[in-house]
Formats: sequence, C-alpha cells, structure tokens
Amino acid sequence: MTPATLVGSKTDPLLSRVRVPIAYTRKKPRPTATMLPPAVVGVVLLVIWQIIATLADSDLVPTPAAVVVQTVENFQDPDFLANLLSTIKLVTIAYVVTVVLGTVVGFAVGTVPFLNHVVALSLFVLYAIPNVVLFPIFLLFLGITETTQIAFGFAHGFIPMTLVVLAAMNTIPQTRLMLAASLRVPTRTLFWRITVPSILSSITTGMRISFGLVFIGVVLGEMLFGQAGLGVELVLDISLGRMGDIISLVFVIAVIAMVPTGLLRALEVRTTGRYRL
Amino acid sequence: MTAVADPASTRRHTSSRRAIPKYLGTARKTVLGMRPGVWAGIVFVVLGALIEAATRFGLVDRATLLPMTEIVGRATGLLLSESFLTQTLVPTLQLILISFVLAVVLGVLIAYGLWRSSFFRRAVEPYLDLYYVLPTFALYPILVLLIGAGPVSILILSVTFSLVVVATNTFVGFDSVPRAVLELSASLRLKHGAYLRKVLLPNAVPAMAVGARLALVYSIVMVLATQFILSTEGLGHFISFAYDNYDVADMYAGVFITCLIALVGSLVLTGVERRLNRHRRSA
Amino acid sequence: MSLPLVQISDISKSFGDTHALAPTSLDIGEGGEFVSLVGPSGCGKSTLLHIVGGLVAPSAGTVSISGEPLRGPRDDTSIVFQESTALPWRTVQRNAEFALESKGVAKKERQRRALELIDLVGLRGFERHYPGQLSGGMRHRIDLARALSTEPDLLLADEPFGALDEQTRLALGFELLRVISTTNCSVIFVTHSIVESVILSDRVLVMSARPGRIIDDIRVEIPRPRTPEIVGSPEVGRLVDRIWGQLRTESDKNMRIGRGTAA
Repeated sequence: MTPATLVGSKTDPLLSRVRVPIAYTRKKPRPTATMLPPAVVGVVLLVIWQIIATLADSDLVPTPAAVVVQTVENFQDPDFLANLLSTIKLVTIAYVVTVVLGTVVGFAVGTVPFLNHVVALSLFVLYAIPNVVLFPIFLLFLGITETTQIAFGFAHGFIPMTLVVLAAMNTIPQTRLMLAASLRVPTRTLFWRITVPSILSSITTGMRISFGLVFIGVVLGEMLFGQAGLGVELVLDISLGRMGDIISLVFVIAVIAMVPTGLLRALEVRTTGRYRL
Repeated sequence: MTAVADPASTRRHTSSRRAIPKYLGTARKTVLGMRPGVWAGIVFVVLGALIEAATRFGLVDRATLLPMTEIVGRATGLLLSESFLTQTLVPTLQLILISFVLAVVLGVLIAYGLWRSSFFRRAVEPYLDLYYVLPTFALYPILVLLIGAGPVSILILSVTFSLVVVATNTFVGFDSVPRAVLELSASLRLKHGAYLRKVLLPNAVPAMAVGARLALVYSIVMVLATQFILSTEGLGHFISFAYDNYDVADMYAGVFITCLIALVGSLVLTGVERRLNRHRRSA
Repeated sequence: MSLPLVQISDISKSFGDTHALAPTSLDIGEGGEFVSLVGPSGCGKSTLLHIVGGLVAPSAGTVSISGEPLRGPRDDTSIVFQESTALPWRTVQRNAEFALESKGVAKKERQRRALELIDLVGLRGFERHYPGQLSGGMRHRIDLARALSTEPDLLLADEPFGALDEQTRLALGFELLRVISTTNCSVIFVTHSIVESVILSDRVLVMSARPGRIIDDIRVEIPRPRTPEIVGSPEVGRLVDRIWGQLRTESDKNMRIGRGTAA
C-alpha cells in the first residue's frame, strides 16, 4: 500500500498508521478485536509445539499436555511452593527498594538540571556493564546470603527506574514552576502538589519497566548461587535434564511476573490519562 | 537607582535576588567550564580513585577488591597476551558483533512487519511484554541439548533476546512520522520504496539508535552471561573460572575489560548516531 | 497625583552576551490601568513582564511596586502565562482554589471564592471537569479565575491568548475586560496582536526589536466599557495604523537580525 491515496478517506493507510496516544483514547476497541490476533498466534505456536513434540523424542521435547500435568504436580509439592514463596518474598523486597530509591534519587538529583544531566550520563554508562559480570563482585562483597540476591535484583532495576525519573524531571513545564514561584509556595507544597503529580505517570512507567528486570535479576541470582527459590528449582531441573519441568517452570515464572506487570501497566495507563493533558 | 552608593542599599540589592526561587534558573551548560560529559568522566575517575584508596589503606581486604592500578595493570597484561586475545577475547567480540548486527537487521525487519500489518502488530504486541520477563537464558540448556553447546546456541539466544528491543524501538520510530509529513508524502504521491528511503527510515533514526544501543548492551549481556553459566571458553567463562579459582586479579581484570568493551561500543554507536543526525538540533 | 503602582527604573537584562532588554523606565498607574506591551518577537517584552513579576532578576535597575522595592514574587501580583497552567490532575474548582490553598486560606472560604470566580469567568457548571476535558479557551479562563482569586492589585498577562484563534481571542479579551472591571486591578498585558492591544488597553507601549526599548507610549482614548462594536471602528483603525507603522520598521530590523546581518 503506497501512501499515495487520499488522506482522510476511510481506507487511508496513513491514518491507520497514526497511533493514537493512550490518554486520548475514548472508546476501547471491541475485546475480541484486541484478543483475537494474539490468541491466534498462541494457538498456532501450541500446534507447532505439539507437532514437534510428537515427532521428536518425548524426553527431549515434552508435549504441552505433559507440561501442564507437570505444573499441576509441582504446585502440589510443598518444596516447590516453599521455593516459590521465597522468590516472591525476595522479589518484593528488592522491588520496593528499587522503586523507592530510584524515585528518591531521581527527585533529589533531578531538581538541578546540570546535575541531572551528569548523573543521567553516568548511569547510562554504568547501565552498559552487564550485571552478570558484576555478579561475582557482589558475591565477594556480600557473600552467599539473601541480601546478595536482593542486591542483585535491585541492581537490575535501579538504573532504568532512576533514568526514567530523571528524564521526567526535565519535562516539567517551566510555566508550571513559574506559577509555583509566583505564588511563593513553600517547598513541600511545590514537591507534593506540583513536582510529584507532574512526574507521576513517569514513575508508574518506571515501576512497570523495573519490575520485570528486578524479577529476572533475583531469579538469575538464585540460579547462580541461591539456596532457595525458583532459580534453584530451575538449576536443579537443568542439571537433571527434566525438560518438562524446565518448560513448566519457565512458564510459571512468566505468569507470575506477568500478573504484576499487567497491573502496573494498568496503573500506568490510568495515571497517564489523569495526570497529563 | 542603578548607582549603588551606600552599603545598606547594597545589602538590600543582593538580598532581593535571593527571594527568587532557585528552581527557576535557566539550566547551566557548563559548571566550572566543563560540560556534563566531562563531569561524568570525572565521576568515574573519582570512583577509580576511591577503589584505589580503599584497597591501599586496607579498608577493603585484598581477597575482595584490588587497587584500581593493579586491575588496570592486569587487564593490560591480558590484552597484550596473544593467547588471551586469540582464544578468549576475539571469539567473544566476534560473537557480540554478529549478535548485534543480526539483532539490528532482524529487529528492523520485524518492526517493518509490525508497521505494515496491523494484524501482525495486534497479534505480537502482548507477547512483547512477556519477553522481558521470561528467563530466556533458562532456555539455553534446552538449546544446548538440542543443538549442542557452542557459538550457535549462544547466538540464537542472544539474537532473539536483543532483536525485540530493536523491533520495539524501531517501531516507535516508524510510528512517529509527523502528521504533516504524512500528508506531504501523500500529496507528493511517493511510491512505497521512496517513502521508505526518504521519509520513514530517516525519521526513525534516533529511535533506531536507541534500540541499537540497547541491542549492543543486551548482546554483551547475553553472550557473556551464557559463557559465564555454561561454556568452556570466552570472556564470560574466563571471569567465572577466575572466580571459582579465587583468582581475584584475573576476575577483576576480566570485568574491567568487559566494561571497556561496553564503553567503546557505546562511544562508537554514539559517534555513528551523531553523524547520521547531523542535521538535527541537539536534543 | 497618586503614586504610580509600578515604578520601573532603568531596568535592563542580559543573558550572557545577549542583551534582551535595554535600560527601560516606565510607570504604571493605580486603580485599574490597563497597559499593553506590543513588539516584535524576541524584543524582551516577556522578559520585562517576568522581571516585574519578580521571577527574573534584572541585570541592572530596580522595580518598585506600591512604593516597595521588588525582591521577588509578590503576594498581590498575579501572573497568567501563555500556556495554560491549569494542573491537569485537578478539577476546575480545585485549580481555581490552588492559589488560595497555597496561601493557607481555610477550606470553606476558598471554596466560596473559587466558585464565585468560576461563575464570573463563565465556567459555571464545569466545576468538576478536568482541564483535559476542556478547550484551550476554557483552560485560560481557569487560569484567570485562579489569578483573580487572591484579589491582586496587579495582573501580569504574558500573551495569554496567544495560542488561540482570532475569534476566541477577541471574545476572551472582552471577557477579561468585563471581569477586571469588577475589580480594582491594574493589568500589564503582553501581546503581539496590535488590534488586541488597542481594544483592551488604556495605554499601549510599543517596544523596539532586541534589545528592547520602549519607543512609544500611546493613550487609547476610547471610552469604557469597551464593546465588540469598536473592533472595526475608525478610532481603533487609526491607532492600529500608527502602531503598525512603528512596528514595521522594527520588524524589518528583526528580520535582518534573523538573516545573520549585524544588528
């Protein structure tokens, strides 16, 4: 389809490519319209999987059904559940620390534009260093403890969270700050009534992004040296070559992570709609 | 008025400036004559100095951290050693480079697909969120069992992980053509190929640059991580091996070299991006 | 002869090497004098306004308001900006209350005053709406309601209708006059629209291209209250012509600056 059709006509391919920002969407498209294509893809993938599984050695590639059975069995195993809870606990702690520290640092640094720029640059450079490589350093300093795992998860999510907040601090409209100045508002009013609401939608974006990262960081830490948690389960399954368990576990991890991510995304959409013009 | 004669009015004059809140000032371009980039560099130099001081003065013992100078010394030694270069560093760099290039090319193609077909886009979008939460490196053992350990499985993993970020960023870039430009293209009756070359791709360059930079980071991460966990060669394995054998010097040297790779790669990409964006105002 | 409300003495402003404002002096009277500042873009009229508002420190010179030298933002001055500063997360009413809230006025009292002003600016019925649901012109009315809620004696308006279309701008201009007439507030109104400046003001100050100086101070003798009929009247036309004549020379200078020739 070339762009050389009438702009504004019903079949205008250009219009269909113009994505409407979330905040301005009034009508939601019919649920079936949004859910159908991904569902189709999902079904197709399942079918392909089933075919491969039937053709290949069942030890190597378990069928989808076998994986489901395995998952149900796992959830009835108290050891598995204990590991699951351990991971959830560590992820929660690491995540809360990440969000709080990221926001606080972002606020503190973001008020001075020059400092904002310097810190953002430094963090960006640090971000390029693969965490996995820093991981032995963590071990050396903190030893094999839960704190190390929390720190590892934190290290995965902190920089993106802070960068998002720092970027947001740069986008507060100057006129809004001038309004606050002309009213001679005290600092705490400026902070809570102007600064925080102005960047709230970015904070929620950062929260969504950093959750997945923190989660993976914790699981990775567990895989590498943990004594409890889903990562440990995964490593065990890998070493025993239990394919069914591996795939099942990967999906379980994905689902557990998807639920909060979905909620955070909803939160993000809500604040963007409400807190931005 | 302007001529300030008596001290009392001078004091009033200066104190009147302080009633204007600090947060209103215009952003400074330089502090002490140096731009933010230079200051960021200073931050890292100070960090190195702190490490040096902490270790030399015994605040941190040598089993945990080594002085910066020793780390750099060991890294230099490794970089000059032929065996390290040919057996460890260069193969790793090759993997990273191939992964990066493949990720960028495939990512852009997928973004194009997403842009062309709204069905494809609606079908794939929900899975993209999923992507970053999957512990993809857990699939590595499966790959190893299916294909065997070695560069191919590392590449498959690394490329699939990195191309998603290229695809999402590039797609955002494609989507960001200003309305007025869309209408101009239509009125000029641009053919599809011309539209791609003259409007779509140039407009998407900044977004693609962001994606490319992330793809480089993720490629480095994936290649090194998989080498770390399950490999018998490469830089990742080198670091893991050093750690297992309590060889702190080699370990930190390896980490330092990784940082250098990341930094040099970033700088090269930024340079290329600047070249391509010469016509744009600085952000 | 009462003391002028605002006394500006030899105010100048430079940003680094750029001279935004040449030494300027003027007086603005009390009791509802409406003064406009017109000039080509970049002439420093907004800078002058920000200085009077206490948001920017002048490089030299002093400003006195009501006899007091200006040290910073002043309680009895209200400012309205070119972009609407209505906070998107607050309803119209809460936005109108914002200034009073910051000053610590009690809830009942500030609600009462806010509702009064919302009614005055013509937004009755929209108290619970959010700015995002309203048009640009309506958002500017929110700003006006908030600005007047503190009962200022000086209102500074920085091209407040600049982003709006011609009809809305004129309509809002007359609305502004109507609202201001119920108060005793003086107004300094920055605009790039010559017609607007003549229609609304008692005095029009014409500024030169950068560095800005006041090159003319014109009294508009059209009687108040001003009504929309005067838009096409010969008196307005004559004044617009006079101002336009001066500004044309200045705009030419501006264009030459833009083309890189030394100014």
